[in-house]
Amino acid sequence: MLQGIASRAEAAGQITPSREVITPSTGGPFAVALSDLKDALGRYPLWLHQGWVDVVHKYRRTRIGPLWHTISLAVFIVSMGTFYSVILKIDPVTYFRNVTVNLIVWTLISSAIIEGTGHFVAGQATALSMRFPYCAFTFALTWRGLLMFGHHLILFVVIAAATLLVPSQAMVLAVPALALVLLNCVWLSMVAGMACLRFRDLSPAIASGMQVLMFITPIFWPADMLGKRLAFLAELNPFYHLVIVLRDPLLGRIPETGDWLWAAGSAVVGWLVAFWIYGRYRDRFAYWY
Amino acid sequence: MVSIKVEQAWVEFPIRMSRNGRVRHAESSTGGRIDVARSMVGALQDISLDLREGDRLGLIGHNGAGKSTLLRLLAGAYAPTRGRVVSIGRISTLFTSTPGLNADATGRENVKTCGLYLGMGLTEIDRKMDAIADFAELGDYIDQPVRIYSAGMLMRLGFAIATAIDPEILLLDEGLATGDAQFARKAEQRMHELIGRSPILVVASHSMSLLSTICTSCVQLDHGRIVEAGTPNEVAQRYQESVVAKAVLNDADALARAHAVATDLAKRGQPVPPALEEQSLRWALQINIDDVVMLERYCYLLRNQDKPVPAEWELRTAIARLRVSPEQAESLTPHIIALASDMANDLPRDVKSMVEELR
Repeated sequence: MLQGIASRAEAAGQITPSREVITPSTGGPFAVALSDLKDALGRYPLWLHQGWVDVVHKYRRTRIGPLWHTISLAVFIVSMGTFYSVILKIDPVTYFRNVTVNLIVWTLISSAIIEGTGHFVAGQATALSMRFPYCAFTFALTWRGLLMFGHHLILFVVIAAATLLVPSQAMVLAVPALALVLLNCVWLSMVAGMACLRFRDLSPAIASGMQVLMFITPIFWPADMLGKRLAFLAELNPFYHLVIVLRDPLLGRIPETGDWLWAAGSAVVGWLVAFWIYGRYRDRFAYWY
Repeated sequence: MVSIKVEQAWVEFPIRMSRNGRVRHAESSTGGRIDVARSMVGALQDISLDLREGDRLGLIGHNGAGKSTLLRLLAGAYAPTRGRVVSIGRISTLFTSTPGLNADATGRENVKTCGLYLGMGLTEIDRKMDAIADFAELGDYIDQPVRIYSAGMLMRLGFAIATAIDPEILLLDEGLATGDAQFARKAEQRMHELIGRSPILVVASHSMSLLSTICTSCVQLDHGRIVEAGTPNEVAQRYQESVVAKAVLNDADALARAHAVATDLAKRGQPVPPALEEQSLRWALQINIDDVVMLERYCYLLRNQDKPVPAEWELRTAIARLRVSPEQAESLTPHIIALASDMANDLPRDVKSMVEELR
């Protein structure tokens, strides 16, 4: 019967193979987090599918489908672009291009955080039914964020073409930059998710915080407007560097080393912090629902 | 080598203390044990189990005894606050909620999503898709968004998906709803097939007779502790006795459970012990105090057990009988009046008014 079960499981292509599970989790925080990470990565069909269907179902009842999202973003950019390029006395063509790419990169990061605040709470049914690797929720969320970014990229391509942006070799750097930004999105979502699972009040607080950040970070206005004295507000803002590192390649520019270092550095520090918190409190998550 | 071992496991939830330091509702007929000093409620206390292949364990107990919590502990959802749980094998759980269910997705898509959450692989889901769709009897609706399904259709779909898995350890929380009566027959068979191919089964239920049919051993939980363990029949016997004992003390939950257990036994054609039926009638009479059939049965049961029939109940029975059979007025009315005058000042108000009417 033993053999029968093992071979049946393999034949069935099960994604959760027979294994020993010990609760409470053994090992230090990093060991626990690593083990959950491996478990979550192993369940890739589940979160790849979940992220995809989340996007597909968003558009199911709409008439123009995904286009709706891109169009609403376009409307926002056109109105902002026209108005602010006049107020800030910047060349409209440049401004349009910059605002578009700044905004779509910012949206990727800020939605990782804002939607991250709720994604652990939303997984209650799953979390209380099995020993689920919570970071799989985060992977599904990040995948969904990437798909939405893809939507918006279409808009950028349209505007780039309209503003006659010349393609250059630097654009290839967008790929590693995107990987770096996504890496950061994962830990940001995870920390937001864990914190808001425990302290539900944090959700609206974080949402407000992100709104403020959107205006403090040079997204709708160029960083050099800060001048020498206040330049540190941008320099010491990790989100600024994260945005720059992806948006520069998209505009055909090579990001400065400083930006790469900030982005990589936030990823390393962020992951260490997220891992530690995750591993330390993983066994408590279910009790927080 | 599928197994689950629970070693002195505790599941404790933190509770909020009220402002003056006292915990509200410290005494309750349901729920776990509250430890005021540590501000924790022990949903499960010192649980030890050892399950091997072929074991079918039934969990029985009052509402809030910890059956669902124990299932979640076994599933690995809750890590024990003390002790530990070691499980070897793929665990599949069928609780009341279906993870992955999405209202905007079609039936087919939900089969895929829910199947993934239940632990099935993509190839397995593909293979079983048609069988699941056929069993759920949804026809063309399987390709429509689940949003438009009726409650019964939704239940059938959920059940069809849930029972298509090949678990090594199956954890069932009671009340896996099965839809309408016609479907229920198919469902019961499929349920038994599923249980048959699961090496280890743990099922929580209020129905002792259900557990007797499918389980090899049973465990009774009370306020988070295991108070009885043994074969289903042994535990059933002692469970009934504990229910009757509590019901006699007017515990509301126990009275309701007595009724549930008695009805369940009757439904399965098994004899109902008189003490149990008596308590179950006490609950039923709380709801419908004028039912002559129940009243007469109640008096009969009391007499059968050589217990005195309280005058009040005799009176109520007689009045109810008079209402239903007015032709017996000649013999009944003097009897009623005699009983009433014996009771004099102890007459409850509603009985008093009924007697007044007769005079």
